[in-house]
Amino acid sequence: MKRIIYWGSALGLAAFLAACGGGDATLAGSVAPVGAPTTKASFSAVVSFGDSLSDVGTYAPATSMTGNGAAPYLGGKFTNNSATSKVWVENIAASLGVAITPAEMGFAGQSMPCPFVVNCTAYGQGGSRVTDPNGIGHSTGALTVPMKTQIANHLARFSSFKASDLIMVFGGANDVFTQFGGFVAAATQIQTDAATGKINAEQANLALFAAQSQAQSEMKKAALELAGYVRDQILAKGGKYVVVITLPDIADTPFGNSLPASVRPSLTDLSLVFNLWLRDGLSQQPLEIVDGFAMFKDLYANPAKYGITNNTVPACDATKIAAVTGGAVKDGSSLFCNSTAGAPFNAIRAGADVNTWAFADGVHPTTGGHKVISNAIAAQLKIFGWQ
Amino acid sequence: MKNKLIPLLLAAPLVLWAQGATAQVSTVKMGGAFIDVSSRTTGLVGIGVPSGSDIQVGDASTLTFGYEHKLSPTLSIELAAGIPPKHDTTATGPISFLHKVSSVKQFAPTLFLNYAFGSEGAALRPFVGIGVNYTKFVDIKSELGQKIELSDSVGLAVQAGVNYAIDKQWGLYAAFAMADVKSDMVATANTVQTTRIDFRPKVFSAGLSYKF
Repeated sequence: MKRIIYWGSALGLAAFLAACGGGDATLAGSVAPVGAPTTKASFSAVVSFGDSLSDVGTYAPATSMTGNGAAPYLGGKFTNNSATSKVWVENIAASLGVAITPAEMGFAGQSMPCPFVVNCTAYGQGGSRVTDPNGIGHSTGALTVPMKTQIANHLARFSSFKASDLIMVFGGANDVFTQFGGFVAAATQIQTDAATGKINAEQANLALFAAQSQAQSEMKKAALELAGYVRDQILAKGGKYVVVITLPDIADTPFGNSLPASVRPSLTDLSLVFNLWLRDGLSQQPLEIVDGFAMFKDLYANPAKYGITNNTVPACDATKIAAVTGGAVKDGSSLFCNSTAGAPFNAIRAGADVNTWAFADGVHPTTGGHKVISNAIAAQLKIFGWQ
Repeated sequence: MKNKLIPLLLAAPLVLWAQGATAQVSTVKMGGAFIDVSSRTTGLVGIGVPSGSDIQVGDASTLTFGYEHKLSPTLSIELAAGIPPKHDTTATGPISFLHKVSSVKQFAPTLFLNYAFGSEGAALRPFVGIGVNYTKFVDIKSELGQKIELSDSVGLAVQAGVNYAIDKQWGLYAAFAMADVKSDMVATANTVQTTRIDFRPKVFSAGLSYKF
């Protein structure tokens, strides 16, 4: 009798084993959002949170031609600037028939909230990070209100989101630049130490691994924070039509291409880590994710498909920008790049075309580049059934 | 359960048990085993993992127990298990500077159907066996702060060995076994790293047996 019980349990065990075989280890970031609206919407506003890519003119006062912060402005957007030059957010808003203006304008301690009084719903600012108010350029005057505060500011004005708001969330690139800068500084020091014999090759590898892990860990943190803001401050506060755009591969920009080949993968990885955890944090949330990484990869790999003839050289000429700004801007930032034909302050490179060249400066798109982005996102809105 | 042989193997002892006519003798075994792991993986894949990076699972030793039940003069069924041994995992390829990256214990009960050669009273009886191995990975520890998951494995196992009877009760045994142990690994920290590990274990065991 005892033996029969024994065998019974042995076979039971075997049956149990058969049932559990195969495993189901879960992969972070692999569960898609679910439950976003599928119905057409009549949008009354585009509410945009982000950074320089979504900035519709926050820092225009810094480019004041009279030097006193007042119009006319030489630039103000991170693209080639002109009367007809628009960033992707403006193109989307225009296609929906709504106006969009900066939520705030200012520079160097000066700030004017809602300068155009209506539809001041473009919160993205050049240099803004996800959570850290000390964004890129903050120490030299840029406002860099982080996305966390951009969202809080919108809630402070309107108390909640509307079902007729098209909410676009596209940020994290300045966290990439910050972490990448930290990694490169650490890596340079490690290489110096290795070259001078202060540390051996294995110690150098371990130190590089630690520096890379640190940068990746910060990207994970920023992504999970952004996902948290989207869940708790947008979706939970009435946001219905919400699009989150993942980061592109910044290694594909002229800036990225200027880096040594050994370093570029680290830059790519930081976007990938951010996107992984952003997706993980937005798993099963009722919103849509636009795969910005794939979108920009395709643009980079197949420029002709998008009417782009040059995706490696900035259309703005750094020397001309330096001349126009009296030597004040030497880095070729498109914020100060004006493309008005025939104007004395035009800073477009000889032979460049702002409609067919993709980049205005090292990282920011031209008018044509922005058009490609807005076209791709508009196509997504149709796929979602929102348009 | 992709392997269609396994249900058959599981059913065979039952059938034999039902027929069960001959003298029924049980044997318990206790001994030591050395597990020579010749792991192969599909390569470590993940964000920031340099191409060619891999992991290798180390060998281990443990104490084993077995219960064998005789079904006929030549056939017996055996359940073998051991105290979960700890295997260290080391990084190889471009990430070899990381050295030991994790450790894992495996609990791997295996059910064999054995066939013994020679006549029933012989002191020395070689045997061969075929069966099913189940491996569960437990107590997985990462040196890099990763959460590591390894899927369970169910696969075929084979063994060959020899039993030596000292007297009517006591005996010695030695065996060599191999099993098909494959597991999907997911290691999560700042990124997600995955691979499929084919452990290809070769188990050498020897010890004392007692019949009752």
